[in-house]
Amino acid sequence: MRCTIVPPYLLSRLARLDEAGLGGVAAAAHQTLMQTEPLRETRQAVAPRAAPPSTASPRPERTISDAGGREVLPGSVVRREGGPESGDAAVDEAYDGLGATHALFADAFERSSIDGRGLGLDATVHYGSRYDNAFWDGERMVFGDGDGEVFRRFTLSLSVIGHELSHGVTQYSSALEYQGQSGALNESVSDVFGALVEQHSRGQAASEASWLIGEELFTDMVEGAALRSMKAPGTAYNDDILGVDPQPAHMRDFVDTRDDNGGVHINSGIPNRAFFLVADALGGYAWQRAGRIWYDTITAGGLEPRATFVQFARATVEAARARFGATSAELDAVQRAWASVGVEL
Amino acid sequence: MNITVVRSGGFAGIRRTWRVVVNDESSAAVDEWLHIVDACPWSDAVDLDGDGVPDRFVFVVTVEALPLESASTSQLHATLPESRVVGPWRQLIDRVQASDRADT
Ligand SMILES: [Zn+2]
Repeated sequence: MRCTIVPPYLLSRLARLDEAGLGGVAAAAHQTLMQTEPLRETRQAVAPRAAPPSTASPRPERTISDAGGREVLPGSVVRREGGPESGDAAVDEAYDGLGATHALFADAFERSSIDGRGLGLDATVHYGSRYDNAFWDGERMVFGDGDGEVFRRFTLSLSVIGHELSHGVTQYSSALEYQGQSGALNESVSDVFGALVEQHSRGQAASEASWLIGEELFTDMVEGAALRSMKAPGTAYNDDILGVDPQPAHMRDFVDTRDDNGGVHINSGIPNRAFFLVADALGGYAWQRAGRIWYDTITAGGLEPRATFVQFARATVEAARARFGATSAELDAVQRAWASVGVEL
Repeated sequence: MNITVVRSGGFAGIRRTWRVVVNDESSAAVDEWLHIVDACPWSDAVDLDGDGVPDRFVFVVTVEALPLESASTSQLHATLPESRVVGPWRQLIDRVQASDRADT
């Protein structure tokens, strides 16, 4: 399931950084690399940096509950950490998806669970009847079974599980208000880390990934590949009943609407595409450089709750500069990406 | 009388509309719907928008061409987040969705 080889470009890049005298940056990048799954086995061979105090819990602490088709939370506990498979697909998918999400944040960003302090990960499945949704209620992830006509059960998609838990990470790091542009950024951050959870779990490089969100959710009756495409927003589906994917990929197509908390799931297409462009330009595993910049951006403490796209873009530029340097390929990729989607820095 | 439910937001961000046209000739049918419509606290929910909870739905409910003898206005309109869809709101929205599904 996991990647087992170190991408050669990263090793050579690290060597270049050392030659250029950017020892600190190289060490930080190296540290990031050491935290990722591929190098786990060789970790002992290199002197690791002392773990920050927040990384107390290397393992997730998962609890899955079953709402039994009612809209009442939390439901009854059906699987706890370390417990055997339940035999209920939704329960076991949620359990595994929480584990994969915890693994991305721990391995790539040295973050212990969603709050950085090892918070237990709670989820409820079988919420409601024919319930076409999944959401984060501030404390737990909640998954519906879908109506069976348009949507299948929401736990089928790892990018959805990663998306929901990432709302928790955002809540504990940069509480972007869930309305208008800051709401679309909140949504985009969840799509970004949801996609990265999936890529990290599958060992996929940026060029191998689908960059689709919710690829497994539509039934065969729907004309569509997924709910959203980060690579090509606006192309995920085109269906008689659902209509055409309304996401814009550029600021000139920004949608002004009162629906959906001011279009938070619509205009997220713009920052989603910016992230894809950074990851695509840099290549390799997206969580190691593009993901790191986005993670630094939301955890640096510089984002206002009502941040606009422009303010967020500037914060990613600062994060790229701080971690990778003023003349780095990373900084260049970030600046180009925002320009391509029409966000003026 | 027409009743329309528009649901936006949710993880998918897909806008969906359900609509029922109540046969005004049938006073039994009209009364049945009005019973639920009148139970909803319309003035409390004119413009609530979302509740800030990620990925939950937002509903807009509109009733048009209300029988005049039953109300002071011919149209009712409310925006409410999913967390407020309880009691009569829940009954009304469920019923519109079920009736529309049955029609198509
Ligand atoms: Zn979301």
